[in-house]
Amino acid sequence: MKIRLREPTIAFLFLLPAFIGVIVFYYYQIVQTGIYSLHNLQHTADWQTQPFVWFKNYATVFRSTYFWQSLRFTVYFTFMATVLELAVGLGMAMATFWVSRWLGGILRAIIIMPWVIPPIINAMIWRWLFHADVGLFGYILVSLGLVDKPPLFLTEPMLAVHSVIFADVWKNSSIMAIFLLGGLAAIPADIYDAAKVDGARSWFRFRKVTLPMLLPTILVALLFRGIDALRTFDLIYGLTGGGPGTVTETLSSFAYKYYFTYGKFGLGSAYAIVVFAIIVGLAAVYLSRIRRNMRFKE
Amino acid sequence: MSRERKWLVGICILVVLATLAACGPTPTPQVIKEKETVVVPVKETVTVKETVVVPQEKTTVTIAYNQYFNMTFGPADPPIVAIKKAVESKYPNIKVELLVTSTEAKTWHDMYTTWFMAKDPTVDILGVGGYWTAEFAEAGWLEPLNDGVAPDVDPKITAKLIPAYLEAHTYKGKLMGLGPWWGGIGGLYYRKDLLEKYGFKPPQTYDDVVTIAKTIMAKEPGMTGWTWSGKKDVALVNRWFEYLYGFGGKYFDDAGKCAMNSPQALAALEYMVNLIKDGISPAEVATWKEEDSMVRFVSGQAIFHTGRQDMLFWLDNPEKSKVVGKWGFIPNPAQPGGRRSGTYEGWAFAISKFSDSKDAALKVLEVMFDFPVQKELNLSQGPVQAHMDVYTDPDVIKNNPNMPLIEEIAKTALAPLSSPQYPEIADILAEEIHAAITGLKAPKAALTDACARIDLATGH
Repeated sequence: MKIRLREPTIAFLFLLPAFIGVIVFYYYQIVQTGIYSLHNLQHTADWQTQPFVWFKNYATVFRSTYFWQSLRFTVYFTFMATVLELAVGLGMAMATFWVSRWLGGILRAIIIMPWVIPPIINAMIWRWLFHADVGLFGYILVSLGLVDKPPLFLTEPMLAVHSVIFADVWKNSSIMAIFLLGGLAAIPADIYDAAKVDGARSWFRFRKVTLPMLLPTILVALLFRGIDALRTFDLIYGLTGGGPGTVTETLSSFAYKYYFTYGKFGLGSAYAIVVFAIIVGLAAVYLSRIRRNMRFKE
Repeated sequence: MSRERKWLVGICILVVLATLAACGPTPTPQVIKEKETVVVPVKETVTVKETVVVPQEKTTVTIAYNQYFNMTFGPADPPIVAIKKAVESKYPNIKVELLVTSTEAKTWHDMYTTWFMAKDPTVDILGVGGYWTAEFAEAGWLEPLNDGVAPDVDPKITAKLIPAYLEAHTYKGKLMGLGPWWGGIGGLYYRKDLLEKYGFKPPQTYDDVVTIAKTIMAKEPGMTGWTWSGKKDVALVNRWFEYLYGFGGKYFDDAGKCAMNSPQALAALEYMVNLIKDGISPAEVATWKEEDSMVRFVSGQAIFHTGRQDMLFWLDNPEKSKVVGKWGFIPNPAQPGGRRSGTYEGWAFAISKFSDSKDAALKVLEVMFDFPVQKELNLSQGPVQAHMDVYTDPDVIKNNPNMPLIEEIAKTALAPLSSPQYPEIADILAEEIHAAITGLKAPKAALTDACARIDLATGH
């Protein structure tokens, strides 16, 4: 017996496993976290037997001065890290794209290395580099005579904030470069040839050909890295532990701490939902701007 | 399908089958039993004894602990090997396995939280920090060992364990774990040679430390006064407790409210801050974990160092230390009216409420805290163990001649703050104390904020 299916039905059947996967592995947890956030859960996730507290947990979140402080830091960190990673990543992509094929392969293998190092290992490496007694950076600065004694990279608030940004840029510029290399490869060579014939020099070609053609890739890469930076946790946790005081505390650390360390699943869930809402909100605004930009390109 | 491809498929199937066979259950040890077979003949009954082999099921008891359980630092097997040997000889039908956890206490704690939340029955015995006892007990995640409901530990075992340590692992009158199998107590290391050279006796008060440090630092250029671990971490909280009690403060008042904003507590924190301001402790202490903080003392560049007793093992080893024979180790100082205190960080073993082999787990736990294994643990990773006979054992004293120093320090052991909210309280204290020593907050503001947050967390 032959079963005849119309094209939309076949498409639906093909999509069904992925659809079920997304529902089971993503949306179910979000709904569950939302339910938890409305209950007073301490060391238990059995929400049906625990008091329903309406939005009390959310009120606690918004009343916390530490939450607002960490929101400010997280936004600053995300902005600085993403912009610097774009600049460094673009430089690395340009440098590796225009060299010979075999050298490009070697350089690409080298630039991807920081990205494949697990964040917590990365944090340990940087902790030693910034170490006040035996750190390389302190040694270099003292040897060059720029300072009398090694700066306290992880204790001085301003230095600590920018040290974690520096470590993040080192790690994640490479993935930005890999994204942009894909974008560069997609630009047709004949456009460059035409520009050369018209007498355009290299800087002009970069501004008028490369950058506009690369813009869609840049926007997607920024979105990807921006969301990732908003959720940063391991690197900063390993490097400063959120210190000095709470100066480098990130939003993600709140949900983690209240959920896993303190066992306050209700409050931890409220933090998680608020962070989720902030990320979705920022991503939505960003995506709408990208769409507008794409329409303009069309 | 081509001939080559058929061969290839055939080989792949064989490889898969062989792999599956290799991954199958390993043969379990067998016990010889006598089985009676009754033969009924026509006229008479004859009983024939026949020997048959009946496989015996082994119960697996899984212990969760970090990688140090696989290591030895002395003339004995690593702890897990010693435990396996002792259990196998006493209970052949019990198999012990180690599940390696993180060495980082916070990550380790959070692993447990995840397992408990999932009611995971895989882990039977857990290594638990003394300050986790109240939290896990309050959540009902640990099996009480003396509540009259099985599994209860044999009183003959507990009678031999040091009561003060057992007290630290008791919550609301219920013994939640046996310990320590390994422990740390804070004390003060000092440069005996330098103190003698400048005519000082070992310090008794915190003021003495400042006087001695200032004098020697003035005469020995490049020398650091006092090193300690000030990174925003649990070690900073432990150091804070020592200063707090040393200045006559305490954790909570009689009503259970935070008392760490008392005048004594303020004096303690101001003292810590002034150590850095006056240059007796370098500003770098605020970035140091325990292992970083000992570097200068071991290199001969510091007069005092506060830390656990761990260094005693190798301070006289010339390959690792530049202060061989030049050091002393005494209980932490205290101001008049204060208590000389070393924060006790003992690691106990407890039985998970969700274990599916509680009886077997109890048997293993009893073996672990009986003298033979305790002695092995001391020889491999001593010196702070629960069993009191260990401290007078000739082999132990021969292996660690510094046992008398440790006994002195142990007298000042300060039980960690006991609260089901300990992880949150520890985080609050780490944040506020760190903010004070790095100059982000005035000591009074830091303690006021700390107590407000702690009272909120504990519901006061």
